[in-house]
Amino acid sequence: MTSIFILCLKIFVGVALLALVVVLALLFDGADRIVHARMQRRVGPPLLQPVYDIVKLMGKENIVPRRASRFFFTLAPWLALVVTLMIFLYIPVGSRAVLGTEGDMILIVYLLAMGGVVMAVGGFAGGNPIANIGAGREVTLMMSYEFPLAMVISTMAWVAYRSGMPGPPFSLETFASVSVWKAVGEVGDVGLVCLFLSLVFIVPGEIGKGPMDIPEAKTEILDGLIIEYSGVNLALLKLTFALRSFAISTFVTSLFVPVSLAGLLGVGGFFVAVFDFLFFWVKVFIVQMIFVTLMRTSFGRLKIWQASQFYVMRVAGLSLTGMILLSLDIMAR
Amino acid sequence: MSTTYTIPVGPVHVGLKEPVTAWLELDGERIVSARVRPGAIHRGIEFMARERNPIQVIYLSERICGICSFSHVMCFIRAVEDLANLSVPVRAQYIRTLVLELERVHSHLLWAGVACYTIGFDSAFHLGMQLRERVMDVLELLSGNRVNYGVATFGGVRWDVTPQLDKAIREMIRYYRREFTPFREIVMEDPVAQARMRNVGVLTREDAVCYSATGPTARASGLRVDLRKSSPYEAYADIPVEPVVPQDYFDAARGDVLDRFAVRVLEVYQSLDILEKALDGLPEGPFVAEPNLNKVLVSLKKAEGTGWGIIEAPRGDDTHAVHLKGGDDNVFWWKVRAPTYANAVSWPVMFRGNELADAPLIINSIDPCISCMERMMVTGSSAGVVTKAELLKRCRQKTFDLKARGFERGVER
Amino acid sequence: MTEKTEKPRERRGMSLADRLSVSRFAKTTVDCGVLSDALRTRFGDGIVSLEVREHKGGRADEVQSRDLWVEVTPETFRPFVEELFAYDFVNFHVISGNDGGDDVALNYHFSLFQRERGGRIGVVCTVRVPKSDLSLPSIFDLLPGSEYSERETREMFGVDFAGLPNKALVFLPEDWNEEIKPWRRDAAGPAPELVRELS
Repeated sequence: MTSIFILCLKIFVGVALLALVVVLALLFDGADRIVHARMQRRVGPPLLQPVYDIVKLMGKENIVPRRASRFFFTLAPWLALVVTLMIFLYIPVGSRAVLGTEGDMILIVYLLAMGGVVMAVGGFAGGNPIANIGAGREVTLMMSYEFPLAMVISTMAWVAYRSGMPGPPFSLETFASVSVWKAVGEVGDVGLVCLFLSLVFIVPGEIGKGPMDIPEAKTEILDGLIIEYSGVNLALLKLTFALRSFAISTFVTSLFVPVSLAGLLGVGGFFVAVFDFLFFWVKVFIVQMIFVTLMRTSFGRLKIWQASQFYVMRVAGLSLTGMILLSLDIMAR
Repeated sequence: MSTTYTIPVGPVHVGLKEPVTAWLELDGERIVSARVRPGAIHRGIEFMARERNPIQVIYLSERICGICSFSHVMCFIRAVEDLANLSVPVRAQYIRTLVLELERVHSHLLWAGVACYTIGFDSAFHLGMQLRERVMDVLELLSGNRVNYGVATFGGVRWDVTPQLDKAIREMIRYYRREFTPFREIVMEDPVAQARMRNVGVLTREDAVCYSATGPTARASGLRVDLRKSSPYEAYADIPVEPVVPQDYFDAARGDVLDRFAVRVLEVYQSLDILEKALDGLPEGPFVAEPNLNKVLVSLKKAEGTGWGIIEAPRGDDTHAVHLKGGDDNVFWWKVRAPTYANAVSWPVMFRGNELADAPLIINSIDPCISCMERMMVTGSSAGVVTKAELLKRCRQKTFDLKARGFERGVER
Repeated sequence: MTEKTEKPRERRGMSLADRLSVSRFAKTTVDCGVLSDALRTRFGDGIVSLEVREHKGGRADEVQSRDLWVEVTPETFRPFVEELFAYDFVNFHVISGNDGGDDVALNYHFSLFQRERGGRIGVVCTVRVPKSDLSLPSIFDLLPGSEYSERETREMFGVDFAGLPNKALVFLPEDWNEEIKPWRRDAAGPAPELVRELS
């Protein structure tokens, strides 16, 4: 009886959360565009522009190219959207995730990667040589940043395990409830900063923006990956892009910024959940501004081999440094 | 096994501002060979000129290009003056030089912005566009237009330099000396911009010579070539100009896109110096030899012969050849060679060994001639949709404001 | 002068790289008068006419640069261009032209000596190609930069350039009827119904 009740509750909360997440992702995307414009001394679009875009695209004709593999071409945007939405079920908003006990960080990383792979498949399926180039770049980029990303996550889990943070080491809820910054010493903090910086560089690659908007580079390969998409399919992809930025921001927030407003204000009881729930989105907004908006305003676009080299050499080196520093810190205990 | 495939860049492409097609044969991302096919925007302007008289052709030549319109006008006028032996008052020569240099500043700024846009560095692009507004306002103050100024005519110019314009240009020079350096540093010292432009689209000194590259494209390859020095025309006879070449400022001339960027940026500073000298040395006197256009037309009707006008336009040397037939009202034949025409021959050489990602940047790096006349005004966040009539009204109002209330207000809106 | 007459024959066998070792901007700038005399001596009757034009400018109204307008016979054309290389690597600008009734007059625009202030000499080499034999040797092997101009002259006037490797259309549309030569004033030119009058 109770398990059925919990299941119903989870379904209800999950659906409500996903609806909220879609709205917030689009709003944050709009805010990102405004802040981006203001940093360039422009006025920028209205806050609701991404919503208008999606609504407009929903009413447009959905064209599938004659030479495309229709099944994969149409499946890709839907699958990408579903996979990206699923991420939010495993991310603790405040302190608890909807499916916190069913999945951990490894699953989140896999879901993120799968979103990328699915979009690359859609690009290949379109039959357009430019989309093929875009998809090829997406896969190359993914292979480059996955290694440093895996290193960051495994190091974090190892820290959680060795420093005795309560909860399963790979679960995000563990990091959301106890600050990892307090779990290690000064050397470890430097190591954590290294890992954090690695993530700052990995995020643009993961979401294809900023200096890493190589698969979609519009002045080179005309939005590459999504060049053949139109109508509903394109709307879904646009939504997926907004959600990916949002998802990775929530992921970074849960991992590195577990500041609790309720804790700071000393509020207890029922308010803890409410305050933390609201404050979580504020934190995500700040993280997204730094990781996405600031990065894409400050840099031009790299070439694919330069980006790949950057991840495999520099960022991997940075995360390795973080790993060694954290190991030293914990071993020295 | 290695297979190649062919991809067209253009004729309509986000990264290109004019319709031109480059068929690239790719091996992965690497360009194996390239074939450039222009012609998408051939308008037969030279053919049209055969049914127009020389004064009408001045305004036709102005419409060849929106950016270097004054260069084409000057080139055509100099060709006609060459064949008809018209003399130009000294003051007019100085005013022509002023407008030529103003145009160079605005062309180079536009190009620098577009180059940043091509590598995805949108912030620098917007900064460049904003810097460019100042010189556009000065040109508007001079002629009432942002492009296609209608300033030059046979034997002189049509607008004089007023004390107000003198002040505005001097203020503009100060503004650029202050504001332009940060822009240059933002782009040239940015690691990503360097990674994208260094050793990309290399045109060696030898190739630049063979393929008759001109202007900043040739100078970036290390050739000291500048018509303002080698055959001084107009007021350049009194104002010495040295070609800007990278080896004088950096260790060596590599002939890549970054060098082309540097040459153009440094030429902006050079243009500011020339502007200052031209303003200081502006002689008194008439600014046109014969203000009555009918008399000019009658004298041109008698003229017979072929004339050659060649000047250093912002993108390279611009060549016009004109033939007038005695007793005929119209231009008999006319040949225009824009600098891009010469530089485009080097494209296949520059593409060699580069990547697809570099292609639009390489095409843009010679600064292909662009007809760009967009103009947008935003007044507050709720501007709404502006009709053409309303836009025209506001354009005129802005020019009046510029002339009536001074320069600062027009810019700092 | 005997030495000069030998030079072109030597150069014909030289590769592009060899010719480039002679720097584009020859250190020694030759005066326009000297150049025109030398050319006259070298080609004699090959030169139909020769005119020096001066350009004045500046406050002092002094001569700032000179142009050399030369008309040569079609047979002299190629040796003439090769002769110019004896002085400096030629900078090519453009080919302009006109249908003169019985012939097509082509004007090649070149520049020499761009190193020194006011040293440049613009050379306009006019060749009248008779319509009975509309062909001219290509200078593409000497000056690759002339490719577009030669292709344009070919498609606009119908002049055939012997030795030009790529003879594809350059500015005219792919589906253009190549029988029509837009700049010709005779039957080969565009018929009136092909011309659209703009207001």
